[in-house]
Amino acid sequence: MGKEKVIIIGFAFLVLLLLFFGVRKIKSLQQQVREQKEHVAKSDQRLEHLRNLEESLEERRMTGKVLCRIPRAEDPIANEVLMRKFLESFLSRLGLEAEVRAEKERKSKDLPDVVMVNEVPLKIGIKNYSSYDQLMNLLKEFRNFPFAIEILTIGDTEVAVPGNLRVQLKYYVIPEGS
Amino acid sequence: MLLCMDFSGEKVNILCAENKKINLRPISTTVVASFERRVESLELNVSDLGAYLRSKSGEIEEIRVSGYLENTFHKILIMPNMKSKVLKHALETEVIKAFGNDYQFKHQDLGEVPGPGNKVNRKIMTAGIKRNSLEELSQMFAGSRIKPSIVTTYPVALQTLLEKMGLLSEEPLAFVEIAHPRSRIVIFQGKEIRVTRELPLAEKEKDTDSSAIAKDIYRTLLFYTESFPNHQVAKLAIAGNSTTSEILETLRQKTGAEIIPFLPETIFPGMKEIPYIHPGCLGLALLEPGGFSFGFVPLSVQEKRKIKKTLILSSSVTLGILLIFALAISRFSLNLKNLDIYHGGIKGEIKMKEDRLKELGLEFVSHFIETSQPPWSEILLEMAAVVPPGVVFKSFSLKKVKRVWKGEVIGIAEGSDEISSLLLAEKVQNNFVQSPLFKGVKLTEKELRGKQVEFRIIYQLNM
Repeated sequence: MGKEKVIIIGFAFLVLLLLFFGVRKIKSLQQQVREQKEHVAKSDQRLEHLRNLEESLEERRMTGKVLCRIPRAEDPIANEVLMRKFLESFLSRLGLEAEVRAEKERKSKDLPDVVMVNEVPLKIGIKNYSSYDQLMNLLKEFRNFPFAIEILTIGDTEVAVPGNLRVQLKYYVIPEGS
Repeated sequence: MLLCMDFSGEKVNILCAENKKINLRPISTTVVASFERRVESLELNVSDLGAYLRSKSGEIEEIRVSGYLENTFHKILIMPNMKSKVLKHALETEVIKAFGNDYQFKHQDLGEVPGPGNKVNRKIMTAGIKRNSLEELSQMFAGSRIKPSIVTTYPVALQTLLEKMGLLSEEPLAFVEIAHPRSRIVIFQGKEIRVTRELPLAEKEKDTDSSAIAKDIYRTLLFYTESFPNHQVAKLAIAGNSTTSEILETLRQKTGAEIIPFLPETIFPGMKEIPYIHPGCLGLALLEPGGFSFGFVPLSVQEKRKIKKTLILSSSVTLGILLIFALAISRFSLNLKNLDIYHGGIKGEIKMKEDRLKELGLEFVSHFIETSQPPWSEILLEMAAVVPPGVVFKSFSLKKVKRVWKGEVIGIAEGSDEISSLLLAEKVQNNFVQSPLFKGVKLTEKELRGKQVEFRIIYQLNM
């Protein structure tokens, strides 16, 4: 084989190697760029969401539309008692005779991790429910506190507490120092 | 510096012009070459050539070489008019037929000549040099930094010189170089080199009146006249450092031709100071590289050039591809880097916002409750509206299951008879279906109890 052919074959092989590795590198970079663009788009979306949320929360704070909180103690058991007592007296003020069951405070999974929030599951059984107006009034009052209703039932037994109007709800607590 | 070397004699004749460019300007009818700056002429043994080249290595810009006369041929061929490729092939056959396969040759078309009948033939001047000779010449410069740019034959270099001196015409001219121990005679006619011959020069003691060389020259002229009957050599240019007045006189008497002594200083001013200048070297110096047809390149050099060309081309292509890839890769890398920086910025801002949101915990919870809880008052009012007279709900429930609010009502419809009770139950279902607050409404159970119908409806909140 002539030297020329050897050179041409050698360089052709080199070019093929270049093409192989070059194209592979470019494809990998393109893939990385594509993925990074997707990440950026997601982050952009999240940032936009956070901006809107912050704006809305700031507005909420500025307009004084702030939720009331139930007094708390250092001891968890005392907290449970405080919670129960508070709700019973709160309902009593609304003319409702109720039995309240409070469970242990735990970390809430309902809200995103951005904010550290705990929840106290509550079950309320109202024994003297008699009118729709009472229910409407009760729900209206609930809106002043960080309560989220999970089950609302009239005449049913799904919530395990005595009464003819039963509510299962969560009370959200923002732990001290978070 | 331009270095012209002639290998036609026993020794190497060298012309060394300091300025590579030799300017030619016409004065009246004579072409004048002025050698700017210094010109050096010398004779060297072949064995000393390497040392000489090494000593001048830094100054040499170009080397021109004319080869041995004995290993060359110059022949006029009359060929039929044909295409250049076919002509080249035919010429090759002719040359091989005449001189064998050992020659590398070049040709020059001297124009049309009338052939037998109305046919037009072409007159082709060919000049060849033995391959071995050419390789041998090339080998002499193997260690030199500069390789010869022109390798040609001694007669071709002479032809150029004579043309520049205005001595060439349609009349035959014999150029004789008398140099011990061998002399050379070349007969030109116009652009044709017709005869070349080497003549041994007898020692002075054996040929005191120089008649032997004169006889040899005369015999060559006779041979020429026999070969070309209608042409007689009328001019005899004589050069060479062994030329004597006796030789010139004898030649004048024997041939009857006009004797023209080779005196370049009469034509080229600035050469008076040079004791002797070799005509072949001077011819080489006057050659115009692009304007002559008989430049030879040894096969090994051709091969090397080809390899060099292939190497340059291949490496250029490879480099080009490499460059394209490098550019593309750097562009994508830069893109990626910019995206990383931009993403880093966004992440930082997100972190700041999240930190800020931590300070707005209660507001966050309030916002969450507001967006995740159904509009209770609207739902309860709607629930009251879907119940027609004659229907009561025994139970009602609404439960959040994985972000979907699912509900169930159990009621009793009491109409005037079973049919109207059933219709009432149907109406409740229709009212649910028509309400914009509910979806996925299904009447799952219906049971007649006397005139009453107990029914069960499941639904979802349309949030």
